[in-house]
Amino acid sequence: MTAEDRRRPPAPPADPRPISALGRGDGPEGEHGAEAGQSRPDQGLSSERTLGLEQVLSLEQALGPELPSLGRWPQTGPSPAPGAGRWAETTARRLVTGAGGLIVAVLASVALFLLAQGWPALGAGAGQLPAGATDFWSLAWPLAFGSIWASALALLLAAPLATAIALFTVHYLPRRWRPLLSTAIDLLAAVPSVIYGLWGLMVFAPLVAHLYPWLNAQLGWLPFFAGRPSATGRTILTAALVLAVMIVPIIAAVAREVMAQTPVGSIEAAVALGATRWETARLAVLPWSRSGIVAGSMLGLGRALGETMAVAMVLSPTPFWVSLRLLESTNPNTVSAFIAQTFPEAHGLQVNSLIALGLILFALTFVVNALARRVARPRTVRERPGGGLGRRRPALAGASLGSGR
Amino acid sequence: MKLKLVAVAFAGLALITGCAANETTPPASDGPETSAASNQLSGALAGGGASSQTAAQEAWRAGFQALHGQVTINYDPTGSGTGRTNFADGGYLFAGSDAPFSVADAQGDFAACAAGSDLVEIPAYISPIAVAFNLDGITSLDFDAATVAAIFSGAITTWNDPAIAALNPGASLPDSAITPVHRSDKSGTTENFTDYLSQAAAASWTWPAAEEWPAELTGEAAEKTQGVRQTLSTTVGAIGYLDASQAGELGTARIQVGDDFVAISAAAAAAAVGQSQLEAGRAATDVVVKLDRVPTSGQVYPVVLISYLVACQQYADAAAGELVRAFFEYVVSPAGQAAAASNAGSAPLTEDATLEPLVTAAVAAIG
Repeated sequence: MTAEDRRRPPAPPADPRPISALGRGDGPEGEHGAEAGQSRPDQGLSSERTLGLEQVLSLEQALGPELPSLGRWPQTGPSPAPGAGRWAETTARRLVTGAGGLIVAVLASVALFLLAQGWPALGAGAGQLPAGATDFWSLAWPLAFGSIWASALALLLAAPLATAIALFTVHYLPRRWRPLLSTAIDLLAAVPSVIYGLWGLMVFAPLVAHLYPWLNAQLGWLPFFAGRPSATGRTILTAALVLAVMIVPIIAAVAREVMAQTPVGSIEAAVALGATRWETARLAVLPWSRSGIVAGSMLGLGRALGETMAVAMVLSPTPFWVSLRLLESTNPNTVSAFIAQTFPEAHGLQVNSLIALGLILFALTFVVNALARRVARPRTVRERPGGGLGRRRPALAGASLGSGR
Repeated sequence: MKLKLVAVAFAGLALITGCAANETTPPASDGPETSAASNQLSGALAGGGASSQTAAQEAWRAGFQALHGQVTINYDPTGSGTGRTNFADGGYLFAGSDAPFSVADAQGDFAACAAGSDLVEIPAYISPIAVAFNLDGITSLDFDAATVAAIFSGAITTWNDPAIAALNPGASLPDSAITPVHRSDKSGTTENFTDYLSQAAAASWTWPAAEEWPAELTGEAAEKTQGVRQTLSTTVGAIGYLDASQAGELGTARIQVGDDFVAISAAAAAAAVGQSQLEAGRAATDVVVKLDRVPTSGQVYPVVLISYLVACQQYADAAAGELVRAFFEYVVSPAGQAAAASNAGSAPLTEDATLEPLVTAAVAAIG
């Protein structure tokens, strides 16, 4: 027993400190890592696993997972002074609880409003609906298709580009240039959509219109590029391209933050094995940030689904139109653009039907967000190279966070 | 500030009375009544409806408020249908509408009106609709109704189609594709354009007149007049229809009437209204024109939009009636029509000798 006791103290140095200290020099992950290390002094895990776990935990925090309940925090923090300190503590707790409750209440009231006001439109007949529709679903489903189709196209175009931008920023660009590019990307994300709409309508659409006849001639055998190409360029492909430009900065920003948290140990391990820069990215950075990229893409998809102004300004829509063709003048409209275009002159049941369309959009974005949450909280994370490829790690979400405390 | 306003009001007044004095036909009571009321009128006048009138309404509001500084006029361009609904519900004291109330609806109840009151509808805004196109080096082409219908229904797809070439023997037409552009939103312009096609080209245009473009017809769609204009001016080979005042540098079509081709002008548009019949079965104050889209001769441009101003003949609230009458009197006055003509490119009602007295009488009856 005594011999064992004496042998124990030297054990901690095998703990992650030296290795993770390497990683802490590098931006925000250091803070997260330190925080996680502080609050989890009782970890009895192997060095590799602990390092990975810490990083995953910080990733979880970056992506906004469930935080532990507020009530537990005072135990680890400095104990509050009696009197004023306790008062501040309760006030703060009430305020933040109120804020949390408020957002749930707002969400619930929006959902209730959409349901209550949209409900009467579901039974509306001919003459009561906008665009001369005969029943609600014949109006709604082409619009829902248009929303999904345009957003999916935008995502297909934006996700690879944004990933490449993020990888370049984090992995290829010299460190001192990083803030510059990051700021530029963040600025792009802040441009109002009406600006993108104007630019798309007046500059971009006439520009790509010159490209469409060529695409049509080369790829016309594909159903997507068949038909008569639009001379104005105001097609669903243009709308999707403008949407893609709008969501690239969002995806790139999230992907960049996640990639920046790739464990330096993983990268060094890859480099030590003789990996080139691209191989390092492929073996260490991309597997690590996969869930972050997907989560960012879902955020972008959510914005693309709800985007109104840019689509309304760029697209040439036709009601009740469903087609996979990308280059024609006749295109399906999107839900949000249709609502915005029709609402100013709507009256009676038409207003209710527009609200019901809003409900459909709400449900769509809700599904996308739910998917994003699922993906952002992976059941398994691939081990980094050398750490036992293919080994599966148990879920790291709230459950393990809670059990650690 | 106040002094300035009064000065502007007097200047405007001098202008009005000056103009009126030059006219030969205005009712004798018009001039003095306006000047007497100018210092007493006050209050707010809420109206709304057809968005086609927006530019004209801005001109009228500015002109009227220069005369009556105490009166606030709001015109909400919500669309004709909403305008009529809100007027019937009493939300608006007056409405603008590209389509008049039907004969049956006109006899219904209106919340703002006194019981048993007639409806007042006047064709206050008459504007030619241009068939405009973007072709390099061509500023004018001749069309007949059947060709226009064929282009917009997609039957004719290239500019050098024999049908177009036959009408324009001198023009060097390109072999490029035609891109017809229509309005994607509900619009009085679309209704009047499709009304023209369904009457003048009944054989090839089988869709009824409607504010929304026929859903079976595909093609390029743009939102509002500005969207159509933008699309036309950036796309070579595009053709569309829009308010003539917005056609700008685009080429415009001359429309065949009888054996002639008539270019767009305010006078030709007014003539189209003047040659038309009044719709039967309406009250004397309900001046609704049944537009004849197929005139057989003369300098008449048949692709015309008429937008109505709607009011009660007798208001439940007498003060409201006085406000509306004063405003409408200004609108149909030479000054009001001239302001709309310069701001919105409309055809002055005053150029039409048959309609003008009817409208003036209808407005004078408002109380």
